[in-house]
Amino acid sequence: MTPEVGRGTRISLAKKYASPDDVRIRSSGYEKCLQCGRCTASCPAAYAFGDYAPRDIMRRLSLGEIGELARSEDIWKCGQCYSCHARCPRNNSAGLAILALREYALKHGIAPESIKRLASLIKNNLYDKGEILLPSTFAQNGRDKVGPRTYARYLENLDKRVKLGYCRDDARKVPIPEESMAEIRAIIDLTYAGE
Amino acid sequence: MLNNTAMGKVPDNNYYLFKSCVAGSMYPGIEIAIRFVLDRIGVDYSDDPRHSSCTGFAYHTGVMPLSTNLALNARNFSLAAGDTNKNIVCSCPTSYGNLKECKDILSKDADLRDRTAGVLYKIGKDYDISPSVNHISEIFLARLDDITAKSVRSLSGIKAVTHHGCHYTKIFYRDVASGNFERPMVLDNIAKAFGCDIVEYGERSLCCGMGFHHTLTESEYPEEVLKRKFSSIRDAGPDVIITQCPGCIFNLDHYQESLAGSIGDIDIPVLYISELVALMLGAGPEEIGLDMHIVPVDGLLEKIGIKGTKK
Ligand code: SF4
Ligand code: SF4
Repeated sequence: MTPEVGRGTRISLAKKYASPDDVRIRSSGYEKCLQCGRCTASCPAAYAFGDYAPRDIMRRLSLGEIGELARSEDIWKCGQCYSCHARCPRNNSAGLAILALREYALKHGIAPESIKRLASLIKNNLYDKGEILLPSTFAQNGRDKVGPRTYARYLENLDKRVKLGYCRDDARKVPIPEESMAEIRAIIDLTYAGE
Repeated sequence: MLNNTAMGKVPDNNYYLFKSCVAGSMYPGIEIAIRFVLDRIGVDYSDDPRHSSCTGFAYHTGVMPLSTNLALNARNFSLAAGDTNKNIVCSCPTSYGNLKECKDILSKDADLRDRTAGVLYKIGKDYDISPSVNHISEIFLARLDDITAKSVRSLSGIKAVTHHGCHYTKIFYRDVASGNFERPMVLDNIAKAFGCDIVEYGERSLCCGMGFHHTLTESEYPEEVLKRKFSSIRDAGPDVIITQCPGCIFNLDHYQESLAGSIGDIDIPVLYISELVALMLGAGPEEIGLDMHIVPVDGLLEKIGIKGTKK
């Protein structure tokens, strides 16, 4: 044991490595992670995809593997349910850090193509109507895969929503007024870098 | 039935209704039903068309930058702060969690607060993030006596399971208004007040499998999670699944048919809490869009003693 790391000395790996200056990585608590695995035991994504573990995300953060994490498919497996966050004995949050990693991946153009496509669809929805999801957005995953009855009822709903007084292709009954849309677009232009 | 910590915190009037893009796009009846219930009990609320999406679905997908999320919601807070009805009430747990998170980050991080306030200044809005953030199910619980006093129907003889949204129970997990994050009782207590029999199931706290981008880009995650969730629900044998989240209904409703191949037939109606409460207060099924649900609700309606939605 070297004298500098004797008893009572806290070792912080974080200081050795650069991390993106994102409040969500700082407050995910990765430096406090015990590698106990409660997060992974709670994680539905770890159950759905056998090769995914939020505990590993925390370990890799403490080793400073930001670029590698942002490039890996792992960060897109998380379902953002926050079971890890609610159950961590140290109040850590792998799900929160993942949000920062996802933003970093998109900014650097290294996110998967399907995510890039979804990002531009959602940004367009927001720019056009002030909502990120519209009735048509839900047809994305080929709703025909969900079964014939489900698909048929889904299609009928466009007419039914109009009967209820809602717009056919807007999420609203009363669309956002133009004056407000101008404010919303100005905010997007001022804050949403990239693309 | 509110937790001690929620007593006095859940506002009993003056609601600023916050729209959900999932509800508005897929189940507009959720919002109609909310207004129906609030009208019946005679509270004041605003239905302001000016606020934008909270962007929570995109934020959690990872395709909405934090800076845009903060600035758009600072604008939304500013609109509520300038209204006579200032208490923000969300129908979507993701709006609830996201608005609370924005408020939390902006209160703690001076740099992000200054940048966000600067953006608001440029568009001519005041920076004021003081309005409280609540979920409609908490409001129903806080006003339960007034609501049940107007009841014209009953859920006696109906067996239900509840599913609370992860973004309601697990992000600000200390704020769950009744029960705790592992065993939230918000929906249970509302339904029980109408005589409903709430049954237990093992996977109560498991997510609905929405997973944000997952449900729009692939089906592996939702299907794997839902196989487990539905197997557990089916063992409990409910007449209905009650939720507090438009996204959870979407997933629980739209995937039942496609799961038949792997776990066998399931055909359990899924209702949002406002739809159920509005029915109890006399709303007509089609008036609140119940015919838009994917799993038909007619069998359940008949059990409650209401003519179905089919002509
Ligand atoms: S539960 Fe918390 S402390 Fe345990 S491995 Fe996960 S992040 Fe680390
Ligand atoms: S938020 Fe993500 S990492 Fe955390 S438990 Fe849920 S799916 Fe797993």
